[in-house]
Amino acid sequence: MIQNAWLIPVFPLIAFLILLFIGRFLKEKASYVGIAALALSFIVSVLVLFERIGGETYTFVIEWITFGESTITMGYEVTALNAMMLIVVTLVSLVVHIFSREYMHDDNRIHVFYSYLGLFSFSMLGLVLAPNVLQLFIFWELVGLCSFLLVGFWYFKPEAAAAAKKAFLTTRIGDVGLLLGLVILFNQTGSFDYGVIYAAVENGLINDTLITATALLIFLGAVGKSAQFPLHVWLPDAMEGPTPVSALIHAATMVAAGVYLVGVMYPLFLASSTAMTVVAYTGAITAFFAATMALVMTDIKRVLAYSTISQLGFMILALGTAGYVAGLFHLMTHAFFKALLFLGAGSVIFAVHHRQDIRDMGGLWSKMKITSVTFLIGALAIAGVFPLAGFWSKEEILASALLNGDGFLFAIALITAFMTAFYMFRLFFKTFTGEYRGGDHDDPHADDPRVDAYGAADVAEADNPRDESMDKEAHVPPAEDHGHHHSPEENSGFMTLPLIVLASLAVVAGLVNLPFMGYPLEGFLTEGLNLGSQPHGALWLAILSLAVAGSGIALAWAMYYKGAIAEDFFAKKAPGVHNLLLNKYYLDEIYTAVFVRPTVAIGRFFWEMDKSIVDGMVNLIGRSTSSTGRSFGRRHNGQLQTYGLVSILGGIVVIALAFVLRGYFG
Amino acid sequence: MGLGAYYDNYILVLIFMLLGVALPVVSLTFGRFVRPKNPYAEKITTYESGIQPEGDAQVRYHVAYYIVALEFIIFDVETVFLIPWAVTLDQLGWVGLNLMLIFIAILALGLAYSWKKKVLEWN
Amino acid sequence: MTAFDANWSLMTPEIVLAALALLVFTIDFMTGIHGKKPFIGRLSVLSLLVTAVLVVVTNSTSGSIAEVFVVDPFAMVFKLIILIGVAMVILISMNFLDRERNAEVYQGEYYSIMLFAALGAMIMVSSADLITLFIGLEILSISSYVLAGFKKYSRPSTEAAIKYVVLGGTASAFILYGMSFLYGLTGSTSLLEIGQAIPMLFEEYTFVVMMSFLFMLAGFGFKISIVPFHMWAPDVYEGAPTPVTAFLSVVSKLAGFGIILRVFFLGFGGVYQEWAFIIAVIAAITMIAGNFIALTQTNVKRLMAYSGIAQAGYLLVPVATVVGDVGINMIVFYSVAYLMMTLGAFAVITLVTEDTGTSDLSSFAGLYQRAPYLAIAMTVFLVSLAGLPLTAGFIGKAYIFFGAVAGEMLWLAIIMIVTSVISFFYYFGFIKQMFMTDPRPNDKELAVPGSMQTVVTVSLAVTVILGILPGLVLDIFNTFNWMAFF
Repeated sequence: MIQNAWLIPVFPLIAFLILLFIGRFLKEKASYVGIAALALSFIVSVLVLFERIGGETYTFVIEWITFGESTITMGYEVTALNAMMLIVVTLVSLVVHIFSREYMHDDNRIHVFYSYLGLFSFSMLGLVLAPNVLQLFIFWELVGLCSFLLVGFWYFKPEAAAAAKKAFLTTRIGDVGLLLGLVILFNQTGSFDYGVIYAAVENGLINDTLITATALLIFLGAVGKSAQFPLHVWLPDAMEGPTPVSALIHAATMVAAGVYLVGVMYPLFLASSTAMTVVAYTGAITAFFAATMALVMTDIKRVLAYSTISQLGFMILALGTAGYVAGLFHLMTHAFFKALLFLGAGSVIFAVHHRQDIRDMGGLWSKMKITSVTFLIGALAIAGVFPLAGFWSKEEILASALLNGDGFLFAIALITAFMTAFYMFRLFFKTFTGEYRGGDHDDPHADDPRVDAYGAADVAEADNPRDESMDKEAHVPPAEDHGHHHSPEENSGFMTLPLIVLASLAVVAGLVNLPFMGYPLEGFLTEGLNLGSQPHGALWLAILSLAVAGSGIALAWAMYYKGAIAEDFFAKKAPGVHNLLLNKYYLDEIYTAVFVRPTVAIGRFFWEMDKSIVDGMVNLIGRSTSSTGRSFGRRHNGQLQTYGLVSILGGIVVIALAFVLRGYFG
Repeated sequence: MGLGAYYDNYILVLIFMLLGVALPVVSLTFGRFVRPKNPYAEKITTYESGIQPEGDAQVRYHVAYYIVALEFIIFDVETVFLIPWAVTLDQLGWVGLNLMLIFIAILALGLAYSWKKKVLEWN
Repeated sequence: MTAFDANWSLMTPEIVLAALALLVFTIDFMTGIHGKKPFIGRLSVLSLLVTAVLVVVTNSTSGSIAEVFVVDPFAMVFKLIILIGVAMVILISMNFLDRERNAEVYQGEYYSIMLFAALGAMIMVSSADLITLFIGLEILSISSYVLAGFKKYSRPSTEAAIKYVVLGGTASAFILYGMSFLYGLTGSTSLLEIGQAIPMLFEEYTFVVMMSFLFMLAGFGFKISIVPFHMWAPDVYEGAPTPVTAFLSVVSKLAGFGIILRVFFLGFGGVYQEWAFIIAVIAAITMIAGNFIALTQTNVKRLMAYSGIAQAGYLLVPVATVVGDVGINMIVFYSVAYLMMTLGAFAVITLVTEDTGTSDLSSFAGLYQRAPYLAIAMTVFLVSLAGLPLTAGFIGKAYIFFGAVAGEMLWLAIIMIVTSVISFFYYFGFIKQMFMTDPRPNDKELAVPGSMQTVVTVSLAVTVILGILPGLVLDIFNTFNWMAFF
């Protein structure tokens, strides 16, 4: 089966093509096409994984292009790491496909939605199977494009359109680094193949400075994709997309691609201690800051978004402290429980008629049993409670930070773990316990500090006043189709089955790397790779991490369930900090002021130059000519002569500069 | 700064340019010093004979002037080609004859076209 | 009489095209000069395709007529680019002209002038002699001036034409002046002889050689609209009829690149190290200015003008970084990609702006609902122009980028990639209008005429196929010994 691994991305691609051409006739039946394709992909992935366990890495490539003397190949490769990734991606994608069947049911562009999902699954699987960095980059861009399409799926919401653009353009910044890094590698090694690059690094064919530089550039790509500080700002906004999309793309798969990238380029990173330090600290800082923001958010999806950023930071931290297996193990477990949490949130949002503010929820425990229980499992897993999946992977990350990092990294990791437990249970208690607060219907987001950060970048777009009178019935968001006065109730099997599947995985996924069984995942992933020994924690570390998680949960319980501490206790104590967190450290505003505005300003500056040089010249000519004599001074339109003059002057300036700089006079 | 023979040729150009500028400047300046200067109202009118200038000095010509001028140039060029061709025709032989016939045919096409387009009619 | 003994068969495509152009011209005025003439359009396209076939058949072996008119893979590929480009421009124009109601506009002229422009461009890329080169250039330029002012009752069109004539004349003067230095130094107009003499002459007459180079750079730079010789482009592009804009920004520009390569590599190749850096700086400025100014534009045609300026900057990068056949590979591949994606985009732009009567960006509002196929095709073209994977634009850009890194001009590579990220902003402006905005109240479903459909489909197919299987043409290019005609 391993030879047929190429089938895995092809099924979703076929689904995409079918839906692209005949989707509009299928309408909601489109979902079955998508589900069937992903089911097939999942089955093949499982078979491939079983064959890979105990088997060899399988590579199949064909020549693609010849650039000068080097040949670039295309094909696919099944390594231990991507066999694992295949399972994660196909499984999460499959359950998301199933979940969306119900969630997107009322949207009459559901076939478009499924075609995008198909395209995304194809691209993500293509990314995972890529045997070289260039192919990875191509699919990397493609998943970015799909993310753009899916975040902007409800494009008639201006926030969604803005968020889609912001997500795409912010990650592009990282991609610049990635492309630059891999082209430098190509230049040094003459190949994009992982194997050739590893060998070149090991044999010292690339000098140390270049290794550090390329590692950092490639890491920049990961920073963008995996929403690490300081490029994390797009991920919370991307929550404007439909919730299943958030679960699939912005929690489990695409955002993990950055971590995966660091994983596949690991030998390069290991060769540079500077790069490793940068990676570790970026991860730690991200984990910490994102967690602090998650503490105060009131939008259920945004809390999860910050939590995702924070957990991705954990993975990056692990990779930066030589915890290769720890980081990737956490990637896998996190994919399951974070997808679970997002789908749970989707289930809740669906039940309360598309409102997302946790202040409007509450008391759902009795009304939505399956959602509540599975959400609780997810929350416990992410908090790192024994024996759920998150416990095992987080404990390894802590071990990695402690043994290979420094005290600072370890401390940050511990504090973040505490905050994780606290905000997750804050979310849980606010949503599922207490009284249902969603009865009255004011605008639930009136006080939501929403910042349209990249609004200023829209200058190039015409002021095209949207004609409100136009017939928009055709594509209202599902929210408006629901009656507003039902009380929330449990959703149908299409939505609960995925939750149950993911919840069971959130319980058992940790078993694949149990210490008592000799760390089977570690053996699988590191076989044949020269990555050094993997850090393992002692028993006291496990107990410490449990205690930290427990105290976080306890504090949340005291504040939001028991009411022993007032909910706004901290907000009152330190209103400045609270505000700072609510406004996300004002990063959006800072970026707008520092990057977006100047870019636009430079554009305007050049543009003004283009225009006003012309006018200025006209005036200059006018004045000088009228003083020389009116015989020359008959004023024509002026523009044309000035263009000519500018061309000539340009020529003269170029010539003059060339001569002065290169000394041709001598 | 090794100026070669190539640059020396430009000295000639430079001399010509200087001469060109100097000639009017010198003669006008010289005249200014030599001539008597006694302006009065009639003398500074455009035509001392007493005729009043009427209208703008810059008249718009009928656009057809330009078109006829262009046609003229085409035939001018044709003549320029024809004469040396005719002189050496015996050496050029049949090939040369054919080439010139093609050339004339193309020109004739252009003439026919402008005829058809009525550019030779003046209103 | 050596001229008569030369291998004139090398010139077959040009002679045939000239004859066909005259035929089109004759049929046009024989059938009355007014009215719609779709058959003339079809005949012109046919003529171009016949010529293209002849180019493939007769130009596959290299050779030259007295080293003045040369035939080599370089000339052949550029001729094909020109012929296919003009054929597509005519297909775009046919519908555009049929909508024209003004009696002052003579359709037939348009087609024959287009053919003459193609002829000029073909002669230009095939010349290895300064005089032949200049004649080709002027045939192309003068035809372009007429085409720019083709809607002679329209003020913007006339204004564009006048500006273009005067500034184009200035540029020609620059080129001639530059050439005169070369002739003065070497006593020859043959690029081969000049190329042999240059390294020695450079030692002695550095100043004159560089003057000559820079004057020609300024003149040719005007033709391909690189900064700071670009200022005419937005005005002319905006005023000229949209298909002519397409012609100027694609065919005219690429032919200009062809001749830049020919002159600089053949004539000045010996002193490459002396001027590569100047080109690099100009490429950088062009990419920066083009992309940044495009950010602020809301008129589609102006935006495409600045985008075209930026693209010219990308095309200039390999000139500055890679010597020899590999560099030409890059430029030719990107030229093919640029031809297809830009012409495809212009086909859509022509259709949309003509339909809505405005060339503001908002004319694209809700295109996806009005004509889904066009919107998707346009997205592919824009994505390709922006350089995203699975399109020809990505491969072309990546190839150039590899070259820049390998040529140790990392700073240029960085500028290239950073500015191409900036270009996403304005290309996405289109995409946002097409997909994320509702159509304007009066805009109905957009009917796509067959000729447009052809252009869009061909461009789309080539853009995508070359994006996925670039080897199809790159492998052929790799076998070429581009400028070996002697």
